[in-house]
Amino acid sequence: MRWEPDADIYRSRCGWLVKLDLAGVRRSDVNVEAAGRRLAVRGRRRDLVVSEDWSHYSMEIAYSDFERIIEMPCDLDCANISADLLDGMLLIYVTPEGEGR
Amino acid sequence: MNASEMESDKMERVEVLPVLPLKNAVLLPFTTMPLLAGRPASVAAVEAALATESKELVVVTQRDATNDTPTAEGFYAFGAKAVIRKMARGSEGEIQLIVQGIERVRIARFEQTAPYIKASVHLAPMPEEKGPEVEALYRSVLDLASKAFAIVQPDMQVDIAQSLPPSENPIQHAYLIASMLGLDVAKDQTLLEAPTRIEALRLLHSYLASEIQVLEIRRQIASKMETEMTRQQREYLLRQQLAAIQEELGEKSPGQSEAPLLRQRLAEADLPEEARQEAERELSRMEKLPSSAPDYHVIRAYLDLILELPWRKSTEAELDLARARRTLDEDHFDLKEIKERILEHLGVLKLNPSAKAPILCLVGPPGVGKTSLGQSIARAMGRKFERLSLGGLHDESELRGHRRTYIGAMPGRIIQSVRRAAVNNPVLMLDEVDKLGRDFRGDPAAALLEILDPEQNKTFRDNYLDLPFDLSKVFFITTANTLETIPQPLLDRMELLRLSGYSEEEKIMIARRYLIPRQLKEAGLTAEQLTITDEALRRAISRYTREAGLRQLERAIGRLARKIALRFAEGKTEAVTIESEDLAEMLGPEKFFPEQARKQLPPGVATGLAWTEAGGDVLYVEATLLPEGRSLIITGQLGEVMQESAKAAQSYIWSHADELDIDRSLFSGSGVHIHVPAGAIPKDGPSAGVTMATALASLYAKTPARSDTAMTGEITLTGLVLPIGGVKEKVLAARRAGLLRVILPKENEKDLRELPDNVREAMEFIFVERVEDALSAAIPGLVERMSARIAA
Repeated sequence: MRWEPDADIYRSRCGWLVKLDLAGVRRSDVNVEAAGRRLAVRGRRRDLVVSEDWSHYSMEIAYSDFERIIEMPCDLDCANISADLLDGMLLIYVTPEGEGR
Repeated sequence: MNASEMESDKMERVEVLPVLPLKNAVLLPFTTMPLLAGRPASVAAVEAALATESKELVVVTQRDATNDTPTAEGFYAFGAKAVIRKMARGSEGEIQLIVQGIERVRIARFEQTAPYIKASVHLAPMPEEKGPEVEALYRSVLDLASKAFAIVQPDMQVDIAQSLPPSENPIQHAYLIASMLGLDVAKDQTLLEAPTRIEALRLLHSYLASEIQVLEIRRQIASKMETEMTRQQREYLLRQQLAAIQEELGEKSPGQSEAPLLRQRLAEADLPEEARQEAERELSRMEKLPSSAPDYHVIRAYLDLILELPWRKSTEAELDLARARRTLDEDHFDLKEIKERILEHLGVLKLNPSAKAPILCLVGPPGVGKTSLGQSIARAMGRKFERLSLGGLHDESELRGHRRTYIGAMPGRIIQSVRRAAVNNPVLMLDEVDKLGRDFRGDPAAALLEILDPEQNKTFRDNYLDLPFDLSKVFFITTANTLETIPQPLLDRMELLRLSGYSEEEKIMIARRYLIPRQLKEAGLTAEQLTITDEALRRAISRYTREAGLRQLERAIGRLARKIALRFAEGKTEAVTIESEDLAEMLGPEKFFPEQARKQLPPGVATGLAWTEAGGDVLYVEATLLPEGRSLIITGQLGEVMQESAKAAQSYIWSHADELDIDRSLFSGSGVHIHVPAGAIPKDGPSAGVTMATALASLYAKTPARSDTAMTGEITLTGLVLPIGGVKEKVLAARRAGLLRVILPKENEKDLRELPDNVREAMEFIFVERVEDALSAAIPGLVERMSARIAA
């Protein structure tokens, strides 16, 4: 069972923007897949503070594997999808074919 | 990389993770569970997991929950790889954490046991199966789950399938449902270890089915308790409202104060054990009822009865015989024999206080003082007196009471009388026992049999009271005008005391001693203001009354007294003396004309004497020849016995015609008609035999009988004269009519003792044993002829 990051979805004239709260997740640990209308974001958040000197006093942040599957209003198979990790947020731009042009 | 490859990849993967041992719970994959790590090994394991980047560990359930340091064998083989979602430390070093199961694992090997357990585990997800069977099982599991949750929370109309997170994997839902059910460890663990999805779903299905049964039963119990509660609450609420309304109306509910009062009375009352138990049972029933309940008052009345009945209370018998004799004499004139009998009983009671009270039956015409004699007996014995009239009583339950189940049920009259008397040994007079009715409601005489039997009435059981009550100390006196209508078994139980009618002299004495003073007092006069002469009284007795008793006479005296009282009230001052002549003016014309002795009797008529309920009477037997006739005609409303007695008289005369010097041709040439006036009054009995024979002898001999002679007696065909009853009344009637010569059977001579001396002395009695003696005494001419024939 994986944890689910929160997500915002924006729309513009030329497409969609999905923003996921993935603070502390390394770029290499994120994997975005698109199939049909389904956008799947999977990955893993690792704890950065792993050292002999520091131990948890309390913990609220979810670590380990996450998975977020978002049902999009548009078909993704023929869409341009690009992702960027900025300030701890994963930004996924979805531009359906034809609309961007 | 496709899905199946990923699965097989996982299968081969071995991970080494810290182990968090779990007691009393099983962490299922996909489910979240709050945990508390307190044991040092557990804390260390959690610390180790937290110190990794991914916060993962393995949660495995211990086989034995009581073991704090389990070894490798102490764990189930399957557990769950989990990730720590949140954690916080407590003050004692324990760690609170929320873990979420990720995947099923099978423990391959324990790597270390200290400072925490570490094991290498195989990820062991279930093989992915799909197919109709999985789908069908999955759906029916969802159905059952909805059912189960509907029972648990009937208000929430949530579809379980919708409330579960979307997932392709039915096992994920199965685990969630299982975690919500709160199954026991063994079941959860079995579910976790299920080798295939079908097996897991089957297991869950059976768990759900049994869980639903349990829930169903629990709900039934709960709803039953709830209805019980709501019913009680409703009743309570209504009671409170009722109380409030009553208070508002100023009707303080008496129920609250009554029960303790009754309880106190019960505690103080002297009751037999059986009665006390019954009373307490009823009282505790009553305390539970509101005072407005109909049963409340039924029970109240019943308790009142139990408490008021004199179970053990009796009047101390003060048996002073001299005083008793004095009391009886004060109250009643003469009645020597009866007073003697009563005093005898008192004497016995004095010597043997436990002797059974006799049951007396006073028989006599109306107005002779039966009731007042009963009162007098009670006074002489110093006991309470209660009286109840049985006249016209035809319902057995009047005597014995109704069962309490009936509405308006009451105790029987006997128990009511005892309750009124408030002692258990009163003198209880049952009036008019000869006038008991009987119909489909039962025979009260039969009930009386029990009541009047000293053997049975020790434990008399009234239907209402339903407890045995001892009536054996009650002194029963019954009264009757006649014995004819009293059933024989009832008669057997009683000792008969006959009160006959009073003679004129007795009546005058009683009037002087009792009636006149009473009526004067009633009218507010003094003895000086009004005097009634003997002549006036005699005239009042003979012309204004016809009775064996004294009621009419007392009424007549009362009328006289009132008339004089009016005169005094109007201003008259000097005393009044009522003479015989004044009666017509004051009481109106004379009402009765006594059967006056006929001055002259024609042949064929004889004077007889009859006994009636109102005393004695004179009657005439008239016989006449019917020329050319043949038969014997008998008229005058005669009963069968009297008709037969007429035939016997005729046969006797015929058969003795020669001795009586009678012309036999009269028998063959003509019939005979016998008539006994007054024709409208029915008569019966054998005692007119002598009279009929005399009338016939006089007729055939053409010689009149003596007009100053009355006669009575039964005859036989052979001419014997047999004794008869009612001698006193008959003789008194003869005297009233002015007949001073009376022919009586020899055997009735002893009865003359009942007569007052003055009567006995004034009259001439002829005692006969044979008809011839009677005839010769009655028909003067016959005597000479008879003796002449005998001489010839």
